[in-house]
Amino acid sequence: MILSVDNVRKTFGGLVAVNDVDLEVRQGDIHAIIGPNGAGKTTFFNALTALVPPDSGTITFRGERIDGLKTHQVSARGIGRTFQNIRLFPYLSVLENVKVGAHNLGRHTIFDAILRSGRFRREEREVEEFALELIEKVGLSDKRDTYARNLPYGEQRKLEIARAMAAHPTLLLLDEPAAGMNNTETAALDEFIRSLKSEGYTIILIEHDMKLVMSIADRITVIDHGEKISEGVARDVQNDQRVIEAYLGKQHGGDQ
Amino acid sequence: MNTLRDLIRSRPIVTAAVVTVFLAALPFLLGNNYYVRVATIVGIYVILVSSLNIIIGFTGMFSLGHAAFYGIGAYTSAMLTTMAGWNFWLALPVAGIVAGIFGTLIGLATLRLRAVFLAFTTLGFGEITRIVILNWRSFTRGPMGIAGVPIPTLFGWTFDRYGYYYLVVVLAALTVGIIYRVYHSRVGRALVAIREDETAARSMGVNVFGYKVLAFTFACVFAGIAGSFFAHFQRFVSADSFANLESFAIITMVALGGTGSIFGPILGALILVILPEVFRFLAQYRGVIYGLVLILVIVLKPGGLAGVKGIFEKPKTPKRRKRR
Ligand SMILES: Nc1ncnc2c1ncn2[C@@H]1O[C@H](COP(=O)(O)OP(=O)(O)O)[C@@H](O)[C@H]1O
Ligand SMILES: [Mg+2]
Repeated sequence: MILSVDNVRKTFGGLVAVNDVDLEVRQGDIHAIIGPNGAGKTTFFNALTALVPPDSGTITFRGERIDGLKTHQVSARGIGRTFQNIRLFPYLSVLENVKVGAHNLGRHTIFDAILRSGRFRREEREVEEFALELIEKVGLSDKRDTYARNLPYGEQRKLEIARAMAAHPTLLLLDEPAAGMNNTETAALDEFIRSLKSEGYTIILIEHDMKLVMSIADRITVIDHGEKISEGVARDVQNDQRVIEAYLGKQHGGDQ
Repeated sequence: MNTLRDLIRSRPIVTAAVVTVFLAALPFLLGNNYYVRVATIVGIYVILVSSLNIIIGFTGMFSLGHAAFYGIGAYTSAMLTTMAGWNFWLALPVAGIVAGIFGTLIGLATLRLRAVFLAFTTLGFGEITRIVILNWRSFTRGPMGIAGVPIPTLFGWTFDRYGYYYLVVVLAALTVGIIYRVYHSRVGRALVAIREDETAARSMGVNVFGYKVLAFTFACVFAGIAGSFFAHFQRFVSADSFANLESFAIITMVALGGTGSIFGPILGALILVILPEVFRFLAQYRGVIYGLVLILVIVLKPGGLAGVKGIFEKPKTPKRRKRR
């Protein structure tokens, strides 16, 4: 298990957004988390990455406890993420956005920068090369100098993934990467996520597009009202009475 | 504007040579001691605005008390040279370090809190600094100020007007050059990322608090160095020179020039130092001018004159496609 989440709980005032959730993610899997809107999926990601520290529970990543760490420390341990409501750096170029993602690959200090030391020059060369590689991988090479704010929506989503990958994470948390994409874009995303898996990334994917989820997920966890209600491979989850009720109860999920 | 920028980019050495020759020849072109003095004051403000730009422009923090660090640098240098007999060349960097230490302390105390806390704390700190200087007579000589701050000498040569001018040009060039190098580095990218989206920066592994304190400290060091130069240029320091109006002046210059670039605030300093000198009758309305300029910038050009992103510009969220 690359990630073991044990009894994680997060409340906002009286609202239990994440209710003692357990989750085991296997190395190399694409693990989908699905559930109706407001189920607590995003909050679960935020708890993993310490953006909203959990009230209780433990999180173990690659054999090390990461609950209690700060967000930037979680990132440094090798967990990258994207956001449901895209959070790029609008006034930075595509290339610069990705370079920020690679922040912790560099070690040069403010003094290295002022003196343009050997370490500075080597690291800047490496990060430039690596960032360009990632940009090419997501198909944004011809937009490397465009401000992130000027990209169309679908490309912003791609840039967010490239930026998350720049830190060399072993685990990628993708929060609704297909939201707002058309069918062609979603198909391309499907391909892309598969290619990430074949490169050895482990991925947790929150997604509403059931076609995408059923096609690429190795395992699926279903959350409703902050609670895990089902888990397994696609077929098991699809036939689980509790899942069907959860979705039907919400008038066709409010989701698809 | 763009073609000029491209020209500068494609010919950096030629540009540097032209600028150097121009700045070297400027006092002779001006030909008048008073104008050289104004040019020297422009130099001081170039250091101050560039340093405040690290805080406001790069990192997106709001400091309303930058003049306090300028004053701390000035007093440190004035006291070390007049009371402890230090040499100017040693007092100058130490003034920067002392201002930087105060910056670190303020940063550590407030930068974990919401943004407004830094704004209020620095505003308060500006006022406190002034009052402490005025009332701690045994240490700072209070309202009398410190007179007789020594003129710098170099290899036995005592600075004249031209000497001050050239020194401030060197200091300002070093300041801008150092800031440029930091801006174009992993550190600078982290600062801009914090300005753009703190949560995203954090999630990309940026230690937001650490970098904010670093940026604030770094900026205060340059304010302290500007203060040291000012003390030895004016040869007299008193609390009035570092009141909150001075902070307001520096902020107005940054806002007028625009914060998205390194050049913008320098343009702002140039305009707002020279304007009251050209229209002498305006000099006594300094505060009014800054207020008017600030309002005009907000209403007419929130991005500032040369900036890509001004301090009053609303963050524009990208258009979103509706969920299917
Ligand atoms: N920062 C927050 N403060 C208060 N309530 C929140 C916060 N974040 C999420 N919530 C609430 O927690 C619940 C779960 O939200 P969320 O995790 O975004 O659901 P999902 O991603 O599954 O749609 C919702 O009721 C939401 O309003
Ligand atoms: Mg969500």
